[in-house]
Amino acid sequence: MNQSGSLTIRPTLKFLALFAGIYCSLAAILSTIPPASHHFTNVVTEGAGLILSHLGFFTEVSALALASGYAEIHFNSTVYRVNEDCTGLSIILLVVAAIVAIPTPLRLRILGVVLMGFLAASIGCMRIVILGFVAEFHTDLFNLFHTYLMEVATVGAMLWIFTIWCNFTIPFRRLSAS
Amino acid sequence: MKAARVFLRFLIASITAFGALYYLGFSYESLLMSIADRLIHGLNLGARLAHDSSDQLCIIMFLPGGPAQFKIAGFDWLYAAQATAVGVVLSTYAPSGRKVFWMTIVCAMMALTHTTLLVLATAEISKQINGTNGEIAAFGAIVFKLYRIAVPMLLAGVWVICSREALFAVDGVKYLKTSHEPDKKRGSVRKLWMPRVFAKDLQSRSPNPPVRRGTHTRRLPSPALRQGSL
Repeated sequence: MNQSGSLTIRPTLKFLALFAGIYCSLAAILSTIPPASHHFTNVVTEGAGLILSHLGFFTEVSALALASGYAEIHFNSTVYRVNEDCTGLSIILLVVAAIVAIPTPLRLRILGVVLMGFLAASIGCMRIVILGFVAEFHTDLFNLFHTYLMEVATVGAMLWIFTIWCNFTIPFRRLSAS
Repeated sequence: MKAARVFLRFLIASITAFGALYYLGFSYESLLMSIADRLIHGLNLGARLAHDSSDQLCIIMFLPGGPAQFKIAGFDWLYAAQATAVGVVLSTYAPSGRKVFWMTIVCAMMALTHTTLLVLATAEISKQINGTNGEIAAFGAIVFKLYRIAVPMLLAGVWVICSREALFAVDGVKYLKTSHEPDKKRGSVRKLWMPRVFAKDLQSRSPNPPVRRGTHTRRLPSPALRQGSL
Protein backbone atom coordinates (compact mmCIF):
# COMPACT_ATOMS: atom_id res chain seq x y z
CA MET A 1 0.00 0.00 0.00
CA ASN A 2 1.38 3.41 -0.89
CA GLN A 3 1.98 6.18 1.62
CA SER A 4 -1.07 8.20 0.66
CA GLY A 5 -3.25 5.10 0.87
CA SER A 6 -2.09 4.34 4.41
CA LEU A 7 -2.48 7.97 5.45
CA THR A 8 -6.10 8.08 4.35
CA ILE A 9 -7.11 4.86 6.11
CA ARG A 10 -7.69 6.51 9.48
CA PRO A 11 -10.03 9.26 8.20
CA THR A 12 -11.73 6.71 5.96
CA LEU A 13 -12.43 4.39 8.88
CA LYS A 14 -13.61 7.32 10.98
CA PHE A 15 -15.91 8.42 8.17
CA LEU A 16 -17.26 4.89 7.64
CA ALA A 17 -17.98 4.36 11.33
CA LEU A 18 -19.83 7.67 11.59
CA PHE A 19 -21.63 7.08 8.29
CA ALA A 20 -22.79 3.58 9.27
CA GLY A 21 -23.88 4.80 12.70
CA ILE A 22 -25.92 7.69 11.31
CA TYR A 23 -27.46 5.62 8.53
CA CYS A 24 -28.46 2.77 10.86
CA SER A 25 -29.86 5.24 13.40
CA LEU A 26 -31.93 7.00 10.73
CA ALA A 27 -33.18 3.67 9.36
CA ALA A 28 -34.07 2.51 12.89
CA ILE A 29 -35.89 5.78 13.63
CA LEU A 30 -37.88 5.55 10.42
CA SER A 31 -38.81 1.91 11.01
CA THR A 32 -39.95 2.63 14.58
CA ILE A 33 -41.89 5.75 13.58
CA PRO A 34 -43.77 4.76 10.38
CA PRO A 35 -45.70 8.08 10.20
CA ALA A 36 -42.38 9.83 9.46
CA SER A 37 -41.74 7.77 6.31
CA HIS A 38 -45.45 7.95 5.40
CA HIS A 39 -45.31 11.73 5.66
CA PHE A 40 -42.26 11.82 3.41
CA THR A 41 -43.98 9.52 0.91
CA ASN A 42 -46.99 11.82 0.92
CA VAL A 43 -44.86 14.96 0.42
CA VAL A 44 -42.98 13.45 -2.52
CA THR A 45 -46.19 12.12 -4.08
CA GLU A 46 -47.86 15.53 -3.70
CA GLY A 47 -44.79 17.10 -5.32
CA ALA A 48 -44.95 14.68 -8.23
CA GLY A 49 -48.69 15.34 -8.57
CA LEU A 50 -48.03 19.08 -8.64
CA ILE A 51 -45.44 18.71 -11.40
CA LEU A 52 -47.76 16.49 -13.45
CA SER A 53 -50.72 18.86 -13.09
CA HIS A 54 -48.47 21.82 -14.07
CA LEU A 55 -47.58 19.86 -17.20
CA GLY A 56 -51.28 19.82 -18.04
CA PHE A 57 -52.25 16.27 -17.06
CA PHE A 58 -55.15 15.25 -14.92
CA THR A 59 -53.67 14.29 -11.54
CA GLU A 60 -55.25 13.37 -8.25
CA VAL A 61 -53.28 12.42 -5.14
CA SER A 62 -54.89 10.41 -2.37
CA ALA A 63 -53.34 9.91 1.05
CA LEU A 64 -56.15 7.69 2.35
CA ALA A 65 -54.04 4.53 2.21
CA LEU A 66 -50.98 6.05 3.90
CA ALA A 67 -51.55 3.96 7.01
CA SER A 68 -50.98 0.89 4.82
CA GLY A 69 -47.68 2.35 3.68
CA TYR A 70 -48.49 3.90 0.32
CA ALA A 71 -50.06 6.96 -1.28
CA GLU A 72 -52.10 6.78 -4.46
CA ILE A 73 -51.68 8.98 -7.46
CA HIS A 74 -54.24 9.01 -10.24
CA PHE A 75 -52.58 10.15 -13.45
CA ASN A 76 -54.75 10.18 -16.59
CA SER A 77 -55.91 6.57 -16.89
CA THR A 78 -53.42 5.03 -14.46
CA VAL A 79 -53.51 4.73 -10.68
CA TYR A 80 -50.19 4.10 -8.93
CA ARG A 81 -49.38 3.10 -5.43
CA VAL A 82 -46.32 5.02 -4.28
CA ASN A 83 -44.50 3.52 -1.30
CA GLU A 84 -41.31 4.64 0.42
CA ASP A 85 -39.13 2.58 -1.94
CA CYS A 86 -40.58 4.48 -4.92
CA THR A 87 -39.61 7.79 -3.32
CA GLY A 88 -35.98 6.67 -2.95
CA LEU A 89 -36.07 7.25 0.81
CA SER A 90 -33.26 4.79 1.63
CA ILE A 91 -30.93 6.47 -0.86
CA ILE A 92 -31.78 9.88 0.64
CA LEU A 93 -30.84 8.49 4.05
CA LEU A 94 -27.52 7.38 2.58
CA VAL A 95 -26.79 10.84 1.19
CA VAL A 96 -27.76 12.55 4.45
CA ALA A 97 -25.59 10.16 6.48
CA ALA A 98 -22.64 10.66 4.12
CA ILE A 99 -22.94 14.46 4.24
CA VAL A 100 -23.09 14.50 8.03
CA ALA A 101 -20.11 12.13 8.25
CA ILE A 102 -17.83 14.33 6.11
CA PRO A 103 -15.65 16.32 8.54
CA THR A 104 -16.88 19.91 8.10
CA PRO A 105 -18.11 22.64 10.48
CA LEU A 106 -21.53 21.96 12.04
CA ARG A 107 -23.29 24.82 10.23
CA LEU A 108 -22.11 23.50 6.91
CA ARG A 109 -23.33 20.01 7.75
CA ILE A 110 -26.80 21.35 8.61
CA LEU A 111 -26.85 23.39 5.40
CA GLY A 112 -25.74 20.32 3.44
CA VAL A 113 -28.40 18.08 4.95
CA VAL A 114 -31.14 20.63 4.16
CA LEU A 115 -29.89 21.39 0.63
CA MET A 116 -29.01 17.86 -0.40
CA GLY A 117 -32.12 16.43 1.28
CA PHE A 118 -34.24 18.85 -0.74
CA LEU A 119 -32.34 17.98 -3.93
CA ALA A 120 -32.69 14.25 -3.24
CA ALA A 121 -36.44 14.62 -2.57
CA SER A 122 -36.77 16.53 -5.87
CA ILE A 123 -35.04 13.63 -7.62
CA GLY A 124 -37.56 11.29 -5.94
CA CYS A 125 -40.39 13.47 -7.34
CA MET A 126 -38.89 13.39 -10.83
CA ARG A 127 -38.55 9.63 -10.58
CA ILE A 128 -42.28 9.25 -9.91
CA VAL A 129 -43.11 11.67 -12.73
CA ILE A 130 -40.94 9.75 -15.22
CA LEU A 131 -42.37 6.41 -14.10
CA GLY A 132 -45.85 7.89 -14.50
CA PHE A 133 -45.10 8.89 -18.08
CA VAL A 134 -43.63 5.49 -18.89
CA ALA A 135 -46.62 3.67 -17.37
CA GLU A 136 -49.02 5.86 -19.30
CA PHE A 137 -47.35 5.89 -22.70
CA HIS A 138 -44.99 2.86 -22.77
CA THR A 139 -46.45 0.22 -20.50
CA ASP A 140 -44.19 -2.43 -22.04
CA LEU A 141 -41.10 -0.59 -20.75
CA PHE A 142 -42.46 0.05 -17.28
CA ASN A 143 -40.86 -3.01 -15.64
CA LEU A 144 -37.43 -2.16 -17.05
CA PHE A 145 -37.72 1.43 -15.86
CA HIS A 146 -39.17 0.54 -12.47
CA THR A 147 -36.81 -2.28 -11.51
CA TYR A 148 -33.66 -1.01 -13.12
CA LEU A 149 -33.28 2.24 -15.05
CA MET A 150 -34.79 4.56 -12.45
CA GLU A 151 -32.92 2.75 -9.66
CA VAL A 152 -29.63 3.22 -11.44
CA ALA A 153 -30.43 6.82 -12.33
CA THR A 154 -31.27 7.55 -8.69
CA VAL A 155 -28.09 5.91 -7.35
CA GLY A 156 -26.04 7.77 -10.00
CA ALA A 157 -27.70 11.08 -9.08
CA MET A 158 -26.94 10.51 -5.40
CA LEU A 159 -23.28 9.74 -6.23
CA TRP A 160 -23.22 12.96 -8.25
CA ILE A 161 -24.70 14.94 -5.34
CA PHE A 162 -22.22 13.44 -2.89
CA THR A 163 -19.24 14.14 -5.17
CA ILE A 164 -20.36 17.74 -5.64
CA TRP A 165 -20.67 18.11 -1.88
CA CYS A 166 -17.18 16.66 -1.33
CA ASN A 167 -15.70 19.11 -3.83
CA PHE A 168 -17.60 22.01 -2.30
CA THR A 169 -16.31 21.24 1.20
CA ILE A 170 -12.62 20.99 0.21
CA PRO A 171 -11.73 24.61 1.23
CA PHE A 172 -13.60 24.26 4.53
CA ARG A 173 -11.89 20.94 5.27
CA ARG A 174 -8.49 22.47 4.50
CA LEU A 175 -9.29 25.43 6.71
CA SER A 176 -10.28 23.25 9.64
CA ALA A 177 -7.24 21.03 9.04
CA SER A 178 -4.67 23.85 9.03
CA MET B 1 -13.20 14.62 -8.13
CA LYS B 2 -15.30 15.34 -11.15
CA ALA B 3 -18.96 14.71 -10.38
CA ALA B 4 -19.98 14.36 -14.02
CA ARG B 5 -17.20 11.81 -14.61
CA VAL B 6 -18.34 9.73 -11.63
CA PHE B 7 -21.96 9.90 -12.78
CA LEU B 8 -21.20 8.97 -16.39
CA ARG B 9 -18.83 6.15 -15.44
CA PHE B 10 -21.41 4.76 -13.07
CA LEU B 11 -24.15 4.88 -15.71
CA ILE B 12 -22.00 3.33 -18.46
CA ALA B 13 -20.59 0.55 -16.26
CA SER B 14 -23.93 -0.24 -14.72
CA ILE B 15 -25.86 -0.28 -17.99
CA THR B 16 -23.17 -2.46 -19.59
CA ALA B 17 -23.27 -4.89 -16.68
CA PHE B 18 -27.06 -4.97 -16.74
CA GLY B 19 -27.07 -5.59 -20.49
CA ALA B 20 -24.57 -8.43 -20.07
CA LEU B 21 -26.57 -9.97 -17.24
CA TYR B 22 -29.81 -9.55 -19.15
CA TYR B 23 -28.50 -11.37 -22.20
CA LEU B 24 -26.32 -13.87 -20.31
CA GLY B 25 -28.81 -13.89 -17.46
CA PHE B 26 -29.74 -17.47 -17.94
CA SER B 27 -26.22 -18.67 -17.13
CA TYR B 28 -25.92 -16.37 -14.09
CA GLU B 29 -29.34 -17.47 -12.86
CA SER B 30 -28.40 -21.11 -13.48
CA LEU B 31 -25.26 -20.71 -11.38
CA LEU B 32 -27.18 -19.18 -8.49
CA MET B 33 -29.98 -21.70 -8.92
CA SER B 34 -27.69 -24.74 -8.75
CA ILE B 35 -26.10 -23.50 -5.50
CA ALA B 36 -29.48 -22.56 -4.03
CA ASP B 37 -30.91 -25.93 -5.06
CA ARG B 38 -28.14 -27.77 -3.20
CA LEU B 39 -28.78 -25.66 -0.12
CA ILE B 40 -32.53 -26.33 -0.35
CA HIS B 41 -31.82 -30.04 -0.63
CA GLY B 42 -29.48 -29.86 2.36
CA LEU B 43 -32.05 -28.01 4.45
CA ASN B 44 -34.81 -30.52 3.53
CA LEU B 45 -37.26 -27.84 2.46
CA GLY B 46 -39.19 -30.36 0.36
CA ALA B 47 -38.77 -28.35 -2.84
CA ARG B 48 -36.45 -28.02 -5.81
CA LEU B 49 -35.49 -25.12 -8.03
CA ALA B 50 -35.50 -25.65 -11.80
CA HIS B 51 -35.95 -23.91 -15.12
CA ASP B 52 -39.02 -24.81 -17.18
CA SER B 53 -39.14 -25.17 -20.96
CA SER B 54 -39.37 -21.38 -21.42
CA ASP B 55 -36.31 -20.82 -19.17
CA GLN B 56 -38.49 -19.47 -16.41
CA LEU B 57 -37.28 -20.03 -12.84
CA CYS B 58 -39.65 -22.41 -11.03
CA ILE B 59 -40.08 -23.97 -7.62
CA ILE B 60 -41.19 -27.59 -7.63
CA MET B 61 -42.96 -28.50 -4.41
CA PHE B 62 -43.41 -32.12 -3.41
CA LEU B 63 -46.98 -32.10 -2.10
CA PRO B 64 -48.93 -35.21 -0.93
CA GLY B 65 -51.03 -35.09 -4.12
CA GLY B 66 -47.94 -35.00 -6.32
CA PRO B 67 -45.35 -32.40 -7.34
CA ALA B 68 -46.58 -28.89 -8.09
CA GLN B 69 -44.71 -26.25 -10.07
CA PHE B 70 -44.72 -22.52 -9.25
CA LYS B 71 -43.15 -19.91 -11.44
CA ILE B 72 -40.99 -17.23 -9.82
CA ALA B 73 -41.02 -14.00 -11.79
CA GLY B 74 -39.63 -10.56 -11.09
CA PHE B 75 -36.04 -11.51 -10.42
CA ASP B 76 -34.81 -8.68 -12.62
CA TRP B 77 -34.01 -6.72 -9.49
CA LEU B 78 -31.23 -9.23 -8.74
CA TYR B 79 -29.59 -8.23 -11.99
CA ALA B 80 -30.26 -4.57 -11.18
CA ALA B 81 -28.56 -4.92 -7.80
CA GLN B 82 -25.59 -6.76 -9.31
CA ALA B 83 -25.25 -4.18 -12.09
CA THR B 84 -25.47 -1.32 -9.59
CA ALA B 85 -22.68 -2.94 -7.56
CA VAL B 86 -20.46 -3.15 -10.66
CA GLY B 87 -21.22 0.48 -11.51
CA VAL B 88 -20.42 1.62 -7.99
CA VAL B 89 -16.98 -0.03 -8.00
CA LEU B 90 -16.05 1.06 -11.52
CA SER B 91 -17.06 4.69 -10.94
CA THR B 92 -14.55 5.10 -8.11
CA TYR B 93 -11.25 6.97 -8.18
CA ALA B 94 -9.07 3.94 -7.54
CA PRO B 95 -6.17 2.10 -9.18
CA SER B 96 -7.21 -0.81 -11.42
CA GLY B 97 -5.89 -3.45 -9.03
CA ARG B 98 -8.01 -2.17 -6.19
CA LYS B 99 -11.05 -1.96 -8.45
CA VAL B 100 -10.62 -5.59 -9.52
CA PHE B 101 -10.16 -6.69 -5.90
CA TRP B 102 -13.28 -4.92 -4.66
CA MET B 103 -15.32 -5.88 -7.71
CA THR B 104 -14.55 -9.55 -7.05
CA ILE B 105 -15.56 -9.18 -3.40
CA VAL B 106 -18.72 -7.19 -4.15
CA CYS B 107 -19.91 -9.47 -6.99
CA ALA B 108 -19.27 -12.59 -4.90
CA MET B 109 -21.07 -11.04 -1.96
CA MET B 110 -24.06 -10.10 -4.09
CA ALA B 111 -24.22 -13.55 -5.68
CA LEU B 112 -24.08 -15.18 -2.25
CA THR B 113 -26.78 -12.87 -0.92
CA HIS B 114 -29.03 -13.54 -3.89
CA THR B 115 -28.55 -17.28 -3.50
CA THR B 116 -29.53 -17.00 0.17
CA LEU B 117 -32.58 -14.94 -0.80
CA LEU B 118 -33.60 -17.63 -3.32
CA VAL B 119 -33.43 -20.28 -0.59
CA LEU B 120 -35.42 -18.08 1.78
CA ALA B 121 -38.01 -17.30 -0.90
CA THR B 122 -38.44 -21.03 -1.43
CA ALA B 123 -38.94 -21.48 2.34
CA GLU B 124 -41.54 -18.69 2.32
CA ILE B 125 -43.49 -20.29 -0.54
CA SER B 126 -43.22 -23.66 1.17
CA LYS B 127 -44.66 -22.09 4.34
CA GLN B 128 -47.56 -20.52 2.48
CA ILE B 129 -48.46 -23.71 0.63
CA ASN B 130 -47.51 -26.47 3.05
CA GLY B 131 -47.43 -24.61 6.33
CA THR B 132 -43.94 -26.02 6.90
CA ASN B 133 -40.53 -24.35 7.32
CA GLY B 134 -42.10 -21.47 9.26
CA GLU B 135 -38.91 -20.77 11.19
CA ILE B 136 -36.75 -20.41 8.11
CA ALA B 137 -39.43 -18.25 6.47
CA ALA B 138 -39.55 -15.97 9.53
CA PHE B 139 -35.78 -15.71 9.36
CA GLY B 140 -36.18 -14.84 5.66
CA ALA B 141 -38.28 -11.77 6.42
CA ILE B 142 -35.55 -10.45 8.73
CA VAL B 143 -32.81 -11.21 6.19
CA PHE B 144 -34.72 -9.43 3.44
CA LYS B 145 -35.15 -6.35 5.64
CA LEU B 146 -31.45 -6.42 6.49
CA TYR B 147 -30.59 -6.84 2.81
CA ARG B 148 -32.57 -3.72 1.91
CA ILE B 149 -30.86 -1.66 4.60
CA ALA B 150 -27.34 -3.12 4.57
CA VAL B 151 -26.61 -3.54 0.85
CA PRO B 152 -26.84 0.19 -0.05
CA MET B 153 -24.70 0.98 2.99
CA LEU B 154 -22.09 -1.61 2.04
CA LEU B 155 -21.96 -0.38 -1.55
CA ALA B 156 -21.55 3.20 -0.35
CA GLY B 157 -18.80 1.99 1.98
CA VAL B 158 -17.00 0.25 -0.87
CA TRP B 159 -17.21 3.41 -2.97
CA VAL B 160 -15.68 5.46 -0.15
CA ILE B 161 -12.93 2.89 0.54
CA CYS B 162 -11.99 2.76 -3.14
CA SER B 163 -12.03 6.57 -3.56
CA ARG B 164 -10.38 7.30 -0.22
CA GLU B 165 -7.39 9.20 -1.61
CA ALA B 166 -9.59 11.47 -3.68
CA LEU B 167 -11.94 12.03 -0.78
CA PHE B 168 -9.51 12.47 2.09
CA ALA B 169 -6.09 13.34 0.63
CA VAL B 170 -7.29 16.95 0.18
CA ASP B 171 -7.39 17.42 3.93
CA GLY B 172 -4.51 15.03 4.47
CA VAL B 173 -2.42 17.73 6.16
CA LYS B 174 -4.50 17.09 9.24
CA TYR B 175 -3.05 13.63 9.51
CA LEU B 176 0.49 14.58 8.50
CA LYS B 177 3.19 16.73 9.91
CA THR B 178 3.67 19.99 8.07
CA SER B 179 5.68 19.64 4.89
CA HIS B 180 8.68 21.57 6.27
CA GLU B 181 8.78 19.96 9.70
CA PRO B 182 11.75 17.58 10.06
CA ASP B 183 10.84 13.94 10.51
CA LYS B 184 12.20 12.82 13.90
CA LYS B 185 12.65 9.20 12.82
CA ARG B 186 14.33 9.88 9.52
CA GLY B 187 16.00 13.16 10.39
CA SER B 188 14.95 14.57 7.03
CA VAL B 189 12.26 16.85 5.68
CA ARG B 190 9.04 14.92 5.17
CA LYS B 191 7.29 15.45 1.86
CA LEU B 192 3.57 15.43 1.39
CA TRP B 193 3.14 12.69 -1.17
CA MET B 194 0.17 12.68 -3.51
CA PRO B 195 -0.62 9.89 -5.92
CA ARG B 196 0.20 10.80 -9.50
CA VAL B 197 -3.30 9.95 -10.69
CA PHE B 198 -4.77 12.82 -8.70
CA ALA B 199 -2.04 15.33 -9.29
CA LYS B 200 -3.77 16.84 -12.30
CA ASP B 201 -7.03 17.31 -10.45
CA LEU B 202 -5.47 18.80 -7.38
CA GLN B 203 -2.87 21.00 -9.03
CA SER B 204 -5.25 23.86 -9.73
CA ARG B 205 -6.51 23.81 -6.13
CA SER B 206 -3.32 23.19 -4.21
CA PRO B 207 -1.06 26.15 -3.43
CA ASN B 208 2.00 23.84 -3.55
CA PRO B 209 2.00 21.52 -6.54
CA PRO B 210 2.34 17.92 -5.44
CA VAL B 211 5.57 16.02 -6.02
CA ARG B 212 5.37 13.97 -9.19
CA ARG B 213 6.98 10.61 -9.54
CA GLY B 214 8.28 9.02 -12.67
CA THR B 215 8.66 12.28 -14.58
CA HIS B 216 12.27 11.86 -15.59
CA THR B 217 13.63 14.44 -18.01
CA ARG B 218 16.55 13.66 -20.20
CA ARG B 219 19.55 15.78 -19.32
CA LEU B 220 21.37 17.15 -22.34
CA PRO B 221 25.12 17.73 -22.19
CA SER B 222 26.03 21.37 -21.62
CA PRO B 223 27.46 23.37 -24.58
CA ALA B 224 30.73 23.80 -22.65
CA LEU B 225 31.22 20.03 -22.48
CA ARG B 226 30.48 19.69 -26.16
CA GLN B 227 33.13 22.29 -26.95
CA GLY B 228 35.60 20.45 -24.74
CA SER B 229 35.02 17.17 -26.46
CA LEU B 230 35.67 18.74 -29.80
